[in-house]
Parts: sequence; structure tokens; C-alpha cells
Amino acid sequence: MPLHRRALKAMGCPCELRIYAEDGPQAEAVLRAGEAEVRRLEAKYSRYRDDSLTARIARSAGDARGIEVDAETAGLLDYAAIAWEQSDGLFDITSGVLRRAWDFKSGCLPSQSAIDAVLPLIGWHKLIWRRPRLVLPTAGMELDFGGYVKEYTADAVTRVLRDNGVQRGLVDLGGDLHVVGPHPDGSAWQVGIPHPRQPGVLARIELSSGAIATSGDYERYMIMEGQRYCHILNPKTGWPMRGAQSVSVVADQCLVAGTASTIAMLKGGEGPAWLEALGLPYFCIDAAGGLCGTLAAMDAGI
Amino acid sequence: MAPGKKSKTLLALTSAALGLPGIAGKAQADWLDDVGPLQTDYRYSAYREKKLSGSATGGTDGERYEVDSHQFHVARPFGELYDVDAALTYETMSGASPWFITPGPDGKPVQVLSAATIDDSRLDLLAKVNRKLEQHRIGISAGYSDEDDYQAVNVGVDGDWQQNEQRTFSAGLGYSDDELNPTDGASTRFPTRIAKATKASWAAFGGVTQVLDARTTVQASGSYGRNEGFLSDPYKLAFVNGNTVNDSRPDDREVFTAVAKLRRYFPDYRAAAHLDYRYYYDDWEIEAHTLEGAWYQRFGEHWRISPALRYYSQSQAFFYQPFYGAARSDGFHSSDYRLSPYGAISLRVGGDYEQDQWRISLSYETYDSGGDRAIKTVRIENPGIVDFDIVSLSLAYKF
Repeated sequence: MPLHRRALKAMGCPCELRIYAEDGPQAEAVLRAGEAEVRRLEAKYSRYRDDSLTARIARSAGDARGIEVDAETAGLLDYAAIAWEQSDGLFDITSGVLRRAWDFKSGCLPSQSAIDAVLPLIGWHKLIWRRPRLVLPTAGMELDFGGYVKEYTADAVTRVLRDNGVQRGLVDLGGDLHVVGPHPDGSAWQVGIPHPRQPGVLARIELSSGAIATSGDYERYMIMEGQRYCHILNPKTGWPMRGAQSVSVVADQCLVAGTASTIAMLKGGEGPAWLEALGLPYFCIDAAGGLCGTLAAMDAGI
Repeated sequence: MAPGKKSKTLLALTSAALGLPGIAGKAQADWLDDVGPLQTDYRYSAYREKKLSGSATGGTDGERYEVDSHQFHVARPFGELYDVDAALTYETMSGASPWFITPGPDGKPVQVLSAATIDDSRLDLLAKVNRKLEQHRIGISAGYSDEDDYQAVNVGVDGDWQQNEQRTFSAGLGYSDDELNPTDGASTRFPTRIAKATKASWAAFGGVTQVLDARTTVQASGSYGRNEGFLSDPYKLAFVNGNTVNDSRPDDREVFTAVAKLRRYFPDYRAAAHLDYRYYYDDWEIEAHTLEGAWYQRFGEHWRISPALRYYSQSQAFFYQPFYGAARSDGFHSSDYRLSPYGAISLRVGGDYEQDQWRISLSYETYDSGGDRAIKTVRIENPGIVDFDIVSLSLAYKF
């Protein structure tokens, strides 16, 4: 059975859909459907488009009537609520406003007053979320789905592919992956964990089912006076977390894997202990560059 | 994969993930299967009219009307497009109501209350289905009302169209068909009371809601309606030149209303102010104004208190008189206080407590009417105009 691939750039990263299918034209149609699902979610939750749902939600901030959301967004909000609770408030989708203070491309640290200016706009508990109505009580508040929508998209695209009859394949959205099914000979996919400090892969994991997501301090960062400041910001203080260099988690859903890896990074030094309690297989590269986690033993070597 | 018992956190995240249509699959999003939240509420209201003082009855204080109302309401969405709403109301009414007015010894009108104590119950059912289409919503509703002496069926259709983020238009049409079978109609006791009568009503409304800024919304709407058929009250009489005759009103009535509403949100105070004005005019020449202001104040995470004040004033129907010296050439006679000129002030205080899926609400309203409260001067106040108190308790739960 031949492998069909489709590469695309979406959600700010290189993506690839790989499926095993007999028929050429039909495979192309299925890949198109998969790509359409990526584009649909990218457009719907984009921070950069005026017509996205994210923009509409931002415009509704300060309006007591709030905004009514559809079932999919309601599901994502319910999920965000659970993630916020389970992470003791560290996973907070209202924290996107911090990017007004943090500009990683500038090479300048924000002033404390710039951060203090946006902190009052952050706090999931400040929202009024009563399905299907969402109210952002203060003007300037925003919801940022960027922290988990990419992983959700990996799961949604997998569903689209499966609904179209695909049983073997891989959805790769910039390192957040969901396995549709193993290779036709039954062998697992070899998934590379990026090296947090050098280009290339640090380790490889074998995955024949499920999903993997990685969070690292190398995706967006700046180094000032020898200190690294990365984009994983604590919503309560507005400053980046310090701890592991990278965390990868395996779960049945990419969404859950992604949330787990993000929360582990947000928990800084307590991350590995939290991951142990969580019960999911994980791979962690600590601040010193050492490997830890249940999957470290699975490392097939480079 | 490393074995391990699933932590509470993992279970919580996984089950929340499975609630997403993109993860759980298309079949789950099928419109019949999609389990949306089911909202239920129950509300009890006690309506108590204040006693009519002896000076109005020309004798002892007159006990008036009491209503106990129980309402059950459920609402649930089906899929992304539909939602269904249904309400069942059960009311028991008892007491006396104004029967007719006679001139007293000094010419002042005296209210005679019905001798028999009415003991009646009413069952009302209303169901509504809404369908969303992009920027529109269309709803159809149907209802049925049943009382010992009265049955009514009503149907309606209404819709909203959201033109843009700031403006929404709405419109609707309603029709109601009523049948009265008055108690003791054409009986030996009341030989001239009608035995059966029908009435048909229809109404159309249109409105627009405009968001002025992030905290302010205004709404303007108007309606036009017609009632045709038996519009008199079969239980009431009028005193005409020494005799009592049946309450008799025109068999046609045209009604206009115009409403303006203002809503302003104060996020720093966690409060909202509501201001409503309603203008009413019908071709029986009753003109009425209502002005209501309410303040909704949140406290802490769970509480909301809302005081409200309402002022009402109406002018009289052209054929109304407390009692008549001579019969009218058009044959219309009615002394019903609801057609008389009067004004009223009502004060309401409500409190809501919300926690997780629960909401409990309690409210108290006191209504006080009088000829002296009307905008224009009222020469003779109808002795039967009513003052009342309403206490309401409601419980809502969302599954």
C-alpha cells in the first residue's frame, strides 16, 4: 500500500499529513479533506485574523451580553476550565494578553509596569462561562486558543482521516503528532524529539498508536545576560517559568498530551513530579540537559 | 507504554477531551444525539390582592383574590442548530372579584364584590422550537390554556436577524383563539349571562436592538394587534340608571404599543442598570405609560440583588363609567377597574444565588394603585382598583 503525503504550512509551523491508501485520486481527496480541517481550525481560532472567532471574542470583551459560542468552542472552553483547575490555575487561556508585554523578537525584557498593566486582564476565574454564553467582563480581555488548538487540530484531522476510511497514517503538526495507525507491516512510527539546544533530533520514540506533544523553552525565547526567557509564561506573575528545557507526553489524544506537556513546563521544577502523578508516559529534558521520564528508557537511540 | 493507574487529573482531562466533536466523532454531533445541557426550573408565585377597605365597599372590608402559581420549565439544545423550550403552568385561584359598582348614599361609588368565592384552576402549556441559521434565528411556538370556564389555543412565529455585531432585528406574529363557557351561563340564577362565546386575537411585533458600545445596549420595538369577538367580562355588571346590566364592550379592539429599553453595564461596580418605557394605546381610547427602572448588583461570586421601581398610568376607555345615570346610545357599559383611569407604583426586590448548576431566586413585589397616581386628574377613582403583593420563589438547575 503506497504512502501519500501532503505538506503544508499552518498554525505557524511546518505540517505533514501521511496516509497509507490504495487509490491515488481518492487518497488525494482525503488529504485535501484533512488539510481543509487544518485550515478551518486555523481560521476559526486565529489570533491574526479579524474575522476569526478569537477576534470576535476579543471584541465582545467588556460587553455584559457576552457572546454565544458554538458546540466545538463550548467544548474547548469546558476543556480549558478543567485544565485550569487541574493545573492550579497555571494553564490559563486568558493569559494571551501577556504578548502585549513580551516581544521575543525585540530582544528587550518588558518593564514590570508593562506586565502589571495586563495582569488584571488575566484570570480564567474572572470570566463568566455558562454554556453557551461567554462573557469577558473587562474590555481588553482576550482568549488565546494557541496554547492547545494545534493539538486539538491534530486530533480533529485524525478523526477526519479515519472517517474517510484511513487506518494507517500520521498527522504531524509541527511536532504535535497523532498516529492514525501503524505502518502496513504493523511497525510503529519513529517520532523524533527535537534537541532543545541544537538543530536536529535528540531522541526517537516509537509510537504505533496514540499521540505525542512536546513543549519546550526553545520555541520562542530570548537570552538576556545569560538568562533564558521563554514564551511559557506564568499567568499569575507574567514571567516565564524556569525548569525543564523540554517535556514530551504521550496520550490517547494529542490535546491531552499537549496540555500535560504545557502544564509540566509551567510547573517548573515540580514538573516531573506532576508528570509522575499524572500517569502518562513522558520524556523530559531537565534544565541541565539530562534525560528523565518513563519514555527515556524507550529511547531507540539516534 | 508504562503502566500506571490513571490519575484523577488524567481522567478529568480525557473526559473533557472526549466532549469535543473533533475528538469524539461525527456521530456524536448528530442533532438528535448531541446532549446539550438540560435546563430546568420551577417557580412558585403567591399573588395576594389587598383587602378592599370598608369605605370602598360601603360596609365591611372585602377579601379579594388570591392566586398560587406553579410553573415548570425545561429548555435544551439539540445539536448546534435547534433548541426546544417548554413550560407548564398550574395555577389555583380563589376569592372574590369586583362585580358591579353602585352609587353610594353620598354619590360616591361603592364596589360590590361577587358573592360567591371563585375557586378555579388553570393549566397552561407552551412549547417553542428555535432554529439557528448563521445570523438568523426562527422560532415557532404553540400553547394551550385550560380553565373551568375558558380554553385558549395560541400559535406564534418569531425570528431574529443579526445584521452585524451591533445590530439585531426581530419580528413576530401571533394568533390566539379563545373560547369562554362562563360558569352559570344562561342559568336560572343568571339568565342573561352568555353560555358560550369566542374571541380571536392576533398581533405582530417588530424591533431592533443596537449595541451602542461595549457596555450599553438600546432596544426599540412596536406592536400592533387586534382582538375580535366577545371582549366583555361575562361575570361583571354595570349599574345603569338604577338597574344592573351585563358588562358590554365593543366586539373589536385595536392595540398599539411602543417600547424603548436601555441597558447599561458597569463593570467596575459589577452591576447593570435597566430602564424601560412602554407606551400603549388602543381604540377604546385607553392610553397608558409604563416606566420601569431596575438595578442588578452582583455581590461576591454567587449573589445578585435587584431592586426595581415601576410607575404606571392609564386613561379610561371611552365607554367606561363607575356607574351610569342613563344608558349609552352605543349600548356599551363597563365599570371594570381595568378600564378606569388610574396610576400605580410598584416596588420589587429580587435576590438570586447561583452556585455550580443551581440558581435560587426570591422576589417580593408590592403594587399600589390609586386615582391620584395617574398623570392626568382622575375625578372619580374606581373603588375596585387593586393593590397587591407577589412573593415568588424559583429554583433552576442545569444538567
